[in-house]
Amino acid sequence: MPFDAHSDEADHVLLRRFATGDAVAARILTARLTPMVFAHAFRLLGNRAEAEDVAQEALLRLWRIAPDWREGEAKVTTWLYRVTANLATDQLRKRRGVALDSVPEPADSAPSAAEGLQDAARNAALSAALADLPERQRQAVVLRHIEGLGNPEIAGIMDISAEAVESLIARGKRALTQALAGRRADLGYDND
Amino acid sequence: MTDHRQRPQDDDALEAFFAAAQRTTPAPSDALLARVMADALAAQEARQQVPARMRPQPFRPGLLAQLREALGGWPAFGGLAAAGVTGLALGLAAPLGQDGLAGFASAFLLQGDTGDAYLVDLMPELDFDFAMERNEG
Repeated sequence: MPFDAHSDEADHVLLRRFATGDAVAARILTARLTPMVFAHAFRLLGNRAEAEDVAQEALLRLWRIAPDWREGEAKVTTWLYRVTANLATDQLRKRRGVALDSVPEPADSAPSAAEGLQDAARNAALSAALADLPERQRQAVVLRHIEGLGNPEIAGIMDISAEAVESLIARGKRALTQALAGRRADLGYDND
Repeated sequence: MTDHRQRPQDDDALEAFFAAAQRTTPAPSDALLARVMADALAAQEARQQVPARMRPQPFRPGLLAQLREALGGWPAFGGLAAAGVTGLALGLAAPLGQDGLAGFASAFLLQGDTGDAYLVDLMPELDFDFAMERNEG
């Protein structure tokens, strides 16, 4: 089944079409939003199977809320980041109650050959360090430095002030620096 | 005690890790995309099957609000309230007697001259009965 995310229409416009039963809008939204939601879930959870379940559930909630979506209150992506993070937090709490065997997996879409291998190793080290951060710090750091969002949007997603976002990111980066300090030589950064 | 302040070179080192993470964005599997698409179509179908009377109805104003709108909004309500108060005042003034009522009516109607206000005795025969009772009693 081919998925085509290419459309000039904004997410909320497509969502309105979706709510009227438009299957083309459903296909475009699926192709456009699933990669974003899955990637965010994976970065918060470090586990592919769990991230897939969280992504499916987050999007299912979007499909169900589509007829009642109120334009102008929040961006669709902002709403999805928030729901995804909440579901991931629930998943992490469940995981703590079950087992400690879910070691973060490295992301698996390596660009190519040697550079890809080194990126994968660095990414694996970062994923492990992120997994040790408190949930809110991890979410803020991932949104800012990996997803590339601005602080105002992160504040909207996390429902906190921009100052609180700054504080979470600063503390998260200090902890990451300490956690990764011993890995820099291994990963070739001292030669950069 | 260790100094935990973040130095510029620390930020640079972290930035390299973040850049590696951005280049290795995890991609969803085709199976996940198919599951999400199936959910989307099922949600659309479920909505189509809900009878129209079961769907959330658009907002309808309450009975009082509908009455208010039918009468012409708040200004009309104000006029209606004033008329009600006037009626009540006239009713309360009635026990004062004919002069009292006539005086009130003339003052209310701003006619100044009480001669312009008519008082109609609707049951004139009662005057005769009262007079007879007084004479006989």
